[in-house]
Amino acid sequence: MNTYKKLSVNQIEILKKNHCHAENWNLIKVGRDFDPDRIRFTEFFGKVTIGNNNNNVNIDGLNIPCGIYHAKIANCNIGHNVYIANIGSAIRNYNIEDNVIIQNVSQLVVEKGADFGNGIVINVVNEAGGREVTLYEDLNAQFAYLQAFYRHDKDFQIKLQKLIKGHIKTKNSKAGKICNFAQIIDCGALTNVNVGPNAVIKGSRELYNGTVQSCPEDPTFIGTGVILKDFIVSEGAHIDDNSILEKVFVGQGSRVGKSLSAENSLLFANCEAFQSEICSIFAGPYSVTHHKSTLLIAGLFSFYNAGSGTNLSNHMYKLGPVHQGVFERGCKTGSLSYLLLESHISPFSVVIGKHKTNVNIEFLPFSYLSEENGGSFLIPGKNLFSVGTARDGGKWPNRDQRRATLKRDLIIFDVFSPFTVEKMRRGRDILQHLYRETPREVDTIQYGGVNIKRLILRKGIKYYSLAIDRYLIGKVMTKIEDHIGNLKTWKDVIKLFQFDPEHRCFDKWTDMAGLLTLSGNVEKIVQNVKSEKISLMNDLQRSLSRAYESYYHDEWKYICSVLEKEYNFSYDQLNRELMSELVNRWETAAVSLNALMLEDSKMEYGKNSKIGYGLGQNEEIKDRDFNAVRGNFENNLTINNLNKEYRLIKKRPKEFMEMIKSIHN
Amino acid sequence: MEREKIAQSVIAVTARELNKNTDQIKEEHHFAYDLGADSLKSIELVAAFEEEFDLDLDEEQALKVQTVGGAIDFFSKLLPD
Repeated sequence: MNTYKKLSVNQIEILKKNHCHAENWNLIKVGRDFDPDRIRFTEFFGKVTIGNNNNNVNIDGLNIPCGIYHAKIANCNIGHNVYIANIGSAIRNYNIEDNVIIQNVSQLVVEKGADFGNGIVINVVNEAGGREVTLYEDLNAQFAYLQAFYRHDKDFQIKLQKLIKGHIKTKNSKAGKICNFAQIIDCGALTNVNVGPNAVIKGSRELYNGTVQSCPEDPTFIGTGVILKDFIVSEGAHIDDNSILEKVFVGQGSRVGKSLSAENSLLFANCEAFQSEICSIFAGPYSVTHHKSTLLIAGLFSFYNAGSGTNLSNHMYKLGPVHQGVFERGCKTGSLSYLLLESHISPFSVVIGKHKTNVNIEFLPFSYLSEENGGSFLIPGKNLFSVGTARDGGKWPNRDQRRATLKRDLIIFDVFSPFTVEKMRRGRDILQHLYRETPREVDTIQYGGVNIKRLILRKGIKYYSLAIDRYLIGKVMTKIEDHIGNLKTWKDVIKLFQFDPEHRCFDKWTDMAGLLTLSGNVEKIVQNVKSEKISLMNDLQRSLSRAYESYYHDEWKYICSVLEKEYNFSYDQLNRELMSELVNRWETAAVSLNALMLEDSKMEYGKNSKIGYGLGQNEEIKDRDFNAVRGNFENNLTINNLNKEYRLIKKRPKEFMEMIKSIHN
Repeated sequence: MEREKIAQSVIAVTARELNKNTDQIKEEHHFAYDLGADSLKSIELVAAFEEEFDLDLDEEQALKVQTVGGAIDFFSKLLPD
């Protein structure tokens, strides 16, 4: 119901007495409980509506009457209980919702044709272009992945961009929007910017052409000295400390600060980017760079951690910065590490030192790539038992900063998944082939631009085999444990492994920037977009959500599809004896990996870790100082968890075999 | 295999993998603290022992071996005369 009415003669007189002016007082409408005495030193241009203003707002602990003070207002709708004060030039073409605070802002203007960051095209992954991503409100990591990495299918890209344009049209508006409870305080110019509910923008230097998505349960914060141009920022993001971002998307729960410089980049959920320089990167969820002198350029990342001074170069030859890097989920680059792009680093791998060849280790996950005498040396599978990998698996879900009800990015956190396990199976085949083909007198072989010592091939095969056994058989044991109440005979058990293959391939998986899914699911989505069965953004979102929700179901299909090949049996042979063999194999694998991890963590407490302790003191005091600062091995949480895991590993096979005694032939 | 032969092999493999002379290596030497075998070198060393003695070692057991003498004893038990 429209409760606004024209100003009364008396109200106009009060406004004039309060040093207010209007081009045309007849174009000003106000709420029923509008108090003209709370409008001072204000000029009105064009049509303006002002809601009730009889409440107070709290700013810096002071209770201040709502109203408009020292401002020029042009063509705006201002809601109830809004406080506007000290506007440098003007507030023009805005719908300002209820309970908004705007104070000490140089300008808040929407120009003709503004699209608030929707439709901005940015060059990600390849700095010279070709993998452009169109920004829009509601963008998530998966939509961006489809835009950037399905370029080979031109028809799909045309249809996808058509769908995106349709979605953007729904966001078009002649006026900008400052939503309920937003606060814009002590800021430079905001031009063509939409601001979501409860957002706090405090001390920013310049915001141009963008949208600050925000929500009451997860307010977004833009702080001191920040410059944002051509941008979309998502709910719960926190951008502060003179950071300069141009052509960027900042995802939900992300943290940006300490003078980060960013351009043409996507930072999805829970990324942290401080002090560094980022350019043309596609940072999937949980990508982190914290240090000065770090340049991340032209790459795809997710669950990534950049050590200080990490550097990448994408300008290999003379045709421009056309090269790109792929760092699959979980990679880390150590201090002062360098990679020449093109390079493709496998999931959960660690890069230490400088690498001046094009590295392609796509199918050797969990590896250590280090530098020795200027050469690149790889230890496949070594990161399987790094204590850091064990920590990573647990820490990401616990560090999910997103508080918004709608979690935009779809994230499967599992370190061991069909995606990584299938890479290990393929990697094991590669290593077996290389080991077979390499004469004993050869010390080192070359593969994918790196050196691998012949003896290390053997260990890589072993490590991958252990991890594959632990994952596959472990999942089978869990499935049987979960269904034991319904398993009367081995025929019932065999039924667990039967599934309708739907003519699909279950060993091909894609990591869509956080969403692990069957490649067939992605292909189906692509086909549906091409045939326009999916023609709306909501339909595309639903399809991706279905892929996300079916992850564990699809994972089991994957396990069923590879188990027979992996262990050379057929399901109709499944019985207690065969199960016992598998369980023994699982125990060996789980115990070995646990022991390797425990050994790795012991190094954190070894002699070399105590070098900087007990300065000038004897060994006993060195130990006491170390224990006081670092704690001791026995009390470390990760170590305790590994020890607890060991006890559970030892217990589980016995209990499992006892449990399946109830299953009859 | 005799302990003496095993000792010769263990010392030879250790020297080769850690770039030392055989006479620099003593039974009491700790692989990490005295001979500088970091985690990467340790993996190579275990792989080299496996190939030398044609064994596939149980990782949990192999990890318990910390010194040259310990390795000699370990392989002496594994490899019967």
